[in-house]
Amino acid sequence: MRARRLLLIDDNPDDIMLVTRALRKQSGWQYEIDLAYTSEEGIRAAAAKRYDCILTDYNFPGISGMELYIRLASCCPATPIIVLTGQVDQAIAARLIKQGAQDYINKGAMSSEKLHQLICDAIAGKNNDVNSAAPGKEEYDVLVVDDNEDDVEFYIRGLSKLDPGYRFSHVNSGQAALKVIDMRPPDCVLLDYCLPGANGLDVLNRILMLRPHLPVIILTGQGSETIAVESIKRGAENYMVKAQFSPELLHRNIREAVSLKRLENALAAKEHELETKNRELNKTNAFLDMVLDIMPGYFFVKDENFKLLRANAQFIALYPDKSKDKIIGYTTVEDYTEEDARAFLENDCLAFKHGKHETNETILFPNGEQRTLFTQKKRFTDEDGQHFLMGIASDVTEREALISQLQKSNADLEEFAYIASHDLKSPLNGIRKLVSWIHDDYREQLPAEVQEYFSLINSRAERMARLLEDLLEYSRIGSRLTAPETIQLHDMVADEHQINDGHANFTVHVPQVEVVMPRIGLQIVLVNLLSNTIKHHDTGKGHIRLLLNQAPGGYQLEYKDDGPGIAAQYHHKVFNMFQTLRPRDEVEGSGMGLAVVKKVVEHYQGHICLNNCADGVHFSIFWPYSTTEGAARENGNGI
Amino acid sequence: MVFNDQVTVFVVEDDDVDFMTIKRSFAKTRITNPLVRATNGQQALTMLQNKAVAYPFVILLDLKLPKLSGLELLSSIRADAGLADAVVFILTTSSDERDIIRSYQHNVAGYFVKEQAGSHFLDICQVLNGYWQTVHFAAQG
Amino acid sequence: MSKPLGVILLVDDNPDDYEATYRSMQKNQLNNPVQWCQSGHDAKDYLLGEGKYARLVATADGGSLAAPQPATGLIPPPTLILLDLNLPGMDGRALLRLIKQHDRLRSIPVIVLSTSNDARDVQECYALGASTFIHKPVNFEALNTAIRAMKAYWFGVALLPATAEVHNARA
Repeated sequence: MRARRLLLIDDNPDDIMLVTRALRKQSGWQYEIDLAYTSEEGIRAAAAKRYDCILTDYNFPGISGMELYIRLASCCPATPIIVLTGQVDQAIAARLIKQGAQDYINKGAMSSEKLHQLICDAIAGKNNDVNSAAPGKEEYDVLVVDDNEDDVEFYIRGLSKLDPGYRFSHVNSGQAALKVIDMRPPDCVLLDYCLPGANGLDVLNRILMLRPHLPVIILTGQGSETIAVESIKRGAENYMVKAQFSPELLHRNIREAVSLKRLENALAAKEHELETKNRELNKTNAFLDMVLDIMPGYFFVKDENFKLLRANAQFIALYPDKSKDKIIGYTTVEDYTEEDARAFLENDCLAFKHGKHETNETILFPNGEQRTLFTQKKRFTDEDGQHFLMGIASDVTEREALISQLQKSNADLEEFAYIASHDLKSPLNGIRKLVSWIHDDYREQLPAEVQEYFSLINSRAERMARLLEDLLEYSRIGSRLTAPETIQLHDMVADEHQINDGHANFTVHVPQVEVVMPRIGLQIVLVNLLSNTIKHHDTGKGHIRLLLNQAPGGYQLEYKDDGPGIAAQYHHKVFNMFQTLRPRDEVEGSGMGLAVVKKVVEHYQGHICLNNCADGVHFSIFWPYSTTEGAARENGNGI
Repeated sequence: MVFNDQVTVFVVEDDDVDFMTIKRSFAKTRITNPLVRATNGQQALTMLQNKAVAYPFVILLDLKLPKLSGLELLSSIRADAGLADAVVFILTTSSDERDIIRSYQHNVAGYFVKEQAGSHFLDICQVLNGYWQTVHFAAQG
Repeated sequence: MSKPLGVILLVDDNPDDYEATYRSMQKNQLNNPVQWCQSGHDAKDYLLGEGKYARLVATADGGSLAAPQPATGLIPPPTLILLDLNLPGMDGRALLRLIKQHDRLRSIPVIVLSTSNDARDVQECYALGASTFIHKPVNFEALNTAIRAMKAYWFGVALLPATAEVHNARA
């Protein structure tokens, strides 16, 4: 039930009864009515307390109705005042309304509904007034609609004297007025009530139909208050009797009317703008929700108490239907296993503390599914200094499963290569030993042919041993590779060069630079490339050039020699396992060297390619900077 | 005081050729210590536990063995109070870093790779012999 | 060659014995750097990177033995330990026990050098995890023979765990 506080000022108990009964009948509204039996009491009460509306009688002993009204209005200007008239005195009523009273009502013709409606309108009307403010210096474009040239002259001259901001246009019929208003609406219309061949109210109606917000001030020669009241009820802004005309009053009325309308317009524009903004905001919000919901992953925002403030549809879907309304505004930890919940809180705390946190977690969700998530949490702070946590999680269950499967099959493969080559080595060693014992013990007794066969057996056995050794080496690369460290490239190349047989006939040019690279990995790559050059060089003597550049994200190593090079049709084959391009009886080699180089480089996410080159081979190796470089340095004493 | 050439060399080796290699090399380097052989890890452990190998002894152990592997046998020896102080040398084809570390973690007295036939193994035997002359062995288990 | 050789840790309280051992190593061109600790406690600090060695030594705890020396100038764990049994304070047996019970140190071979002839000492050291027990020779000639044998053995034919292997394989 909505309540309204009224002040009723009346000295007639019958009238009081009439009003209070009329208002009691209005269901849905509770009127609290304070009573004042004299004008003095009324004024005191109005000054002391704030009312929603004041109803006052017009006839009191010792004070005129107008005076009472003015005093009431001055002590509570924001409160609407409705005048109760006992007599049919519409002229007074019109004057009061002009002064600012919200309305009047004839006690004799009063009904419950009518009074209630009047009060409602009065309150609404006054609320609009409150928003208006005093106008500043402005221009007024005034349209005067009057057929009396003298009057027009009089208004224009009087008003122009008072304010240079006036601009006038003048027409002498309603028809012409409507045309002007339609084409270029003025700020205010002064409308003569008595135009030839037209009813003033009719013109007023048509003007307001055309421009509902245009302020119109009615000017009338007769002092008919009926016309006045009617005009104002129909939407005229004000009413003036020509006989009582003063330029000052007219000026004030115009100014007030215009500024009121302007404020109303401004307010309407503001409201419209606000509404548009609101609509846009809602749209943006809805769009954001849509984006979050369509995002392939889980999204949530938590406050510092770990309560969820926002979550996308995927996140909500992790919960069973019955607890879906217990997510936003809750921590929801009780929906998880104790262990998972503890991990969440720990991670949340870390994220709040350090600003961010990343983790791979396998979680049993409230809806019963077990998934592996990669979760990133980030702290952020809003305008008010409140901290929040934003979380994004992507489902990596399948990916993680694939990774562990791959890791296993990789490990299996290495294990296989290791065991196979190892187990094959033992019997091979036996064969070689037995052959060597035959050679040691019975050499003299064997025909030369048999000795030749034995030496062939020996060389084949040796080749197989080397194949197995290189295969073993290849399978072990992964476990031997280490973290990066600072290396003098020149010194390392010099060291590795000396390991290969026949190095003395080859010069190597290397820049004196420091690199941060994994030592063993780089050693393996260098020694194999150098050995490759030496083994395949056509003159057995040559030069090797090594260049190192910084490329985006890593080192770019260029390796060039001046040997016979490799024909383009074999380029795609050189990195294959056991690939040799020349017969093994000419060049001893297992064909694993470049395969090993490739495996090492790719272990570090780099790549190697063989360039087309007329003179010698040219390998280009891209070796990414290590991401653990910083960490290794920070730890200082350990890798 | 024990004369070091009286130390029994207990060879745990499944490959006949490898055992022959040891015998030949010992003969060539004039190592006269008595040789006892087991062909798998389980047999070796049983022999040790039954004191079938005369004290004092050293063990030449292959890592790749049927039934009980070399490292398993080594663990069992170190876990057995009566055998924990045995001097064990590893003689294997494996140069895998993991095998080396695991062996030394079980306090082996040396780790040797039987690379190939030829002079390399003779070097090992010579050094082993020289070393045995220098080091002390526990007299009694 | 620029590759560092593995450190040999020599634990002996007698400066004369240290001097003799060091000279013999030089004479036999066993050029590995030698760290001399005069007491069991000192050796323990060195091995664990504690006390005056804090921040200087790449301790066994600080990283895998298999890892190469980081570019920080720290000393890696030793390749080989020569240990005198009779030491003031923490004696050789206690230090040996500590090393052999330490997860990462235990794979470093320990050679016990002692004047003791007592069979029980020999047995105890093997039981504690010594790799070899060498009777401390009384004259320099005998010492030379022992060091030569030791060099031929440990740095000639035997394979040592990675720190040693990496640094000695091409030395």
